[in-house]
Amino acid sequence: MANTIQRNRAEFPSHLTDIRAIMPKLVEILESGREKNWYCFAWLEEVKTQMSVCAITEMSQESLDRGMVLRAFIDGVNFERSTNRLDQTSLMKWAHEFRSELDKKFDSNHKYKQEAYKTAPWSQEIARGLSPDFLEQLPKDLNSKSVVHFGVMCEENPALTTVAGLKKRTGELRTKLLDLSHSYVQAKNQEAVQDDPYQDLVEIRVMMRQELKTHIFVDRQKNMSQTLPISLAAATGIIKNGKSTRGISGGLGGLEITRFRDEQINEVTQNAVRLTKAAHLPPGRYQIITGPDVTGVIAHEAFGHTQEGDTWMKGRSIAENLHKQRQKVGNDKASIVNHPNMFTMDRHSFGTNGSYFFDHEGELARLQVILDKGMLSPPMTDLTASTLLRVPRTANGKRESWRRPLMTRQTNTYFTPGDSTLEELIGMVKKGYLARWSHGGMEDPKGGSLTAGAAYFEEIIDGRMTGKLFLGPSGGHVELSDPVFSMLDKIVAKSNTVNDQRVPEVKFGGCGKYHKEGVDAGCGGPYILWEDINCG
Amino acid sequence: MQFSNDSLLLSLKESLINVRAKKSDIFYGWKISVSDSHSLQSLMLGDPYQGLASYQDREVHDREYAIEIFTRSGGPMMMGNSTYNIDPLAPLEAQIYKTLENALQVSNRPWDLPQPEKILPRPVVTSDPQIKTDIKAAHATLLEQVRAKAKKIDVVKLNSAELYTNIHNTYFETSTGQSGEQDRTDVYFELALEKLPLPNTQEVLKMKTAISIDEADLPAFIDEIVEETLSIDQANLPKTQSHAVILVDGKTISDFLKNLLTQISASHEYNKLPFLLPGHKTYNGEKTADSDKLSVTLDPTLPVMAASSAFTSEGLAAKKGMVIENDTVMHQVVSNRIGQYLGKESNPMMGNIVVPLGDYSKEELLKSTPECLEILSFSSLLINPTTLTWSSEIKLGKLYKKGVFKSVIKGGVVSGDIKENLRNFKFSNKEKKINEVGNNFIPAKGYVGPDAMLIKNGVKIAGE
Repeated sequence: MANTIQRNRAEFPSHLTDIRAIMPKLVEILESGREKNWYCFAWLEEVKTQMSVCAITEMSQESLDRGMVLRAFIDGVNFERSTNRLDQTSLMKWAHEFRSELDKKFDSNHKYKQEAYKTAPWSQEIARGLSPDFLEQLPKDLNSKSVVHFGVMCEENPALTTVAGLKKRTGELRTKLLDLSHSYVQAKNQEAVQDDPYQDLVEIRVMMRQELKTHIFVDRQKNMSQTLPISLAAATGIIKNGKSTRGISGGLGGLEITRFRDEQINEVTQNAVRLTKAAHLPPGRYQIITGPDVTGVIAHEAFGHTQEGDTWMKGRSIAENLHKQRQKVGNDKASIVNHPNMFTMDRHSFGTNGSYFFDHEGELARLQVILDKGMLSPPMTDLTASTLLRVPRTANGKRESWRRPLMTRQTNTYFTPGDSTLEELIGMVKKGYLARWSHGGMEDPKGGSLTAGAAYFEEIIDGRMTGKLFLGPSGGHVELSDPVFSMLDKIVAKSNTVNDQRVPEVKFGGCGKYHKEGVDAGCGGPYILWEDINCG
Repeated sequence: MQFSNDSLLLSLKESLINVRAKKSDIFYGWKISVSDSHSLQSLMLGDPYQGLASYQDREVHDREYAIEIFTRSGGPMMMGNSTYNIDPLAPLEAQIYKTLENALQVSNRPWDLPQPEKILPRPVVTSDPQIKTDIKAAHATLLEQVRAKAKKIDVVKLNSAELYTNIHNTYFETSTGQSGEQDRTDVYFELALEKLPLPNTQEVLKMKTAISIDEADLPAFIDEIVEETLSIDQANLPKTQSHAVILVDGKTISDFLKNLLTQISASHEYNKLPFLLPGHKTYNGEKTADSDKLSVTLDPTLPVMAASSAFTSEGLAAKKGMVIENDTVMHQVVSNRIGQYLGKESNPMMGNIVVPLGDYSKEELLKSTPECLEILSFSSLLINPTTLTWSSEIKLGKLYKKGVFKSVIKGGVVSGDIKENLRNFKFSNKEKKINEVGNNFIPAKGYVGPDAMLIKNGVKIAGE
């Protein structure tokens, strides 16, 4: 991870200075005189997106989405108003109207069930412990009025990104991938005369996107902001019958983190071609090695969603009773971590799109073990879930955008690494498959089952990769599905990591809660050898 | 909502005209889109006294302005386009110049932008007057319906619910003189519940999306889910099978057809993805003699349906048409742009998916096979629109033998191939209407057709 290239932290965008100055006034309008029973905050989010697509049909896009949420948390209920009409006059009027509504609902005779939530001042936050990424950005003489900004380390300044720059990179990458794929097909067809020769890909579609997210949070104890550049390159290789493979590279950082490595290049240029000759997997149980991508989906769906505090709060998770009963739900190798402040991983000096400094309710990000050697910990929480469940608050309060409600959501969820190499894991397989690339997944927090998709399988026989690829039984992707407990009891071995903080590879990803509310969420882990998994 | 006097819209239009005049050598055309949305959102928890109690109460106002700029430049001439969401707090002309610059980065074959049509598109009813008139009263009515019903329920445990009432007004105008405005309303409701006594490990989570309060009929929807929840029993894994017979519901039929219909779009042909042309069959291999045949009409005119619209995305009048008749593709859907690329006439057919009913009831369909697995819910049905393959874990199902219920099924993976499935299937004779509201990523879907489909070919199950 040694990096000699100059890196700088993403700066606070100066055009938001005026709006930021209004936010403490809005909070004051909302809670003034009611501080004993009301806890209020203001949240602003801005997402600047630039995108370029190079394909048969090219496109480009730039957008700026900015909105504010005012929150009053009273007696365990969130009252929120959101708008994108952000001129000073409209904002002040809006805050006064909201206050007036709340005053009507909670008149002076109202009997409150609980006092206002007490948010931690900076002194308590520091005493509780913050990682160096935070401490080095905090100003001296911190107090509740201090303006604090957190930025992510970048080589390429995200504020200077342009669509023209993205277009140049997508164009060059597409040309390179098309050339490499064509050379691969020619080489394969020259290796041996074939009745059914390999054919060139019909299309390689390359997309490059950067989202520059800035969040501002203001309550009675803090006035802080964060700028999170999320950079992504994705390429899809498509064969004539519509089957495709995809390589993606990106995470939290400047465009430097989108460079394609060999594994992504080969996935797009070679494996899509190889899929034309893939066999169909007979449905059944198989010994499986999952790569970081699929391992991550299993972590995310297994005891990721199940450990979301609002799901506990609603009585919709099997985990609450299991935690209370101290029941073991996996073997000693089954450990899963929630890591919102993850800024390095495996051999990379950047985090994923699931990382941040604070969540959407202003809770500072700290690592949390959610499954420790098969034993469940208290859940990840947002403010409401933490209050109603009377469990510690964690930095997992997130929303799809200012338009949508906040819920307990995952940040980066991963299995902890082990001590084997991938080659050693492959050597332990008699007959089985390597599932390297994910294809969706779904949780069932109440039923305790999970499903994780793999784009295709690579066959392993007698400890060696055979070079044969397998699609699902019907010719689509392969689904891996089992009850969570039996699955987590079948971890045989895990691969190691070179990361000095023992953070394995975590992949760029997104997450929906059941079927909606899409948010950024990284998931990953080591290569894991599973005794067997039901595959179809 | 009246947009004609919106000051930002007027300034934006003026700025576009100014910049276009200054850059007339490359600035070919523009489109402005404005949307105004108002959303009321209530998130609820199960409560022993109130049935359901709110823990989040939200109100959202959202007004967005977007532009698309089209350029023509270079030799040979190439055409570019780029979209931009306008920041109302920043200077407009600078944003227009930036969009122009972004559009110049795009090199596509030129096409002529559509002109206003001689006959104006006929207005289509896409909203509920009750919600449109007073969204707060409408949301309160829906909330009261849900709470009143929930209070009386004691045979199951209600875990949580979400209710959203939304209005979206949209307006567009182009440099060629096209313009249009539409109002849309929708209601989203979801309920999670489980059978008593506790604890158990099976939860039912159902969602309903509707355009109007009447269509939502939330009390009836809640009754339906409670009944389904009570019918759940101890669950077993399905058997592993290479030739399974399954029965799927109207939602799944609509999802299958929505994906199949992407292949009749001419954009698939241009972009070298698998596509279907008029005369092509919708199935692979040999059709089973006693199978039903598939016919599909796209209808944008049905009142108060999610995919009803007076306009296509290019601003042309949306057209109704039978795109599949007796398993044969009748028309390719061709946009103005792709039509010019492929040398084909534009055919702006779009709308709700309308499918004729079959001849038998769901019960008769279940009786007609020695063994059938009715899929009540998939964990996550993923359909690949290019390969038309699909798969999912079974979240909940019921196994029938000759129509007699045998056991509840949960777990295992079911997969299939739509073109194989369409070789041998039967539709039910009961109608189902489905509305799914679109968003920035997923187009809206409206469906009127059979509420069940028996699939006898091309399904595999990985289970015990």
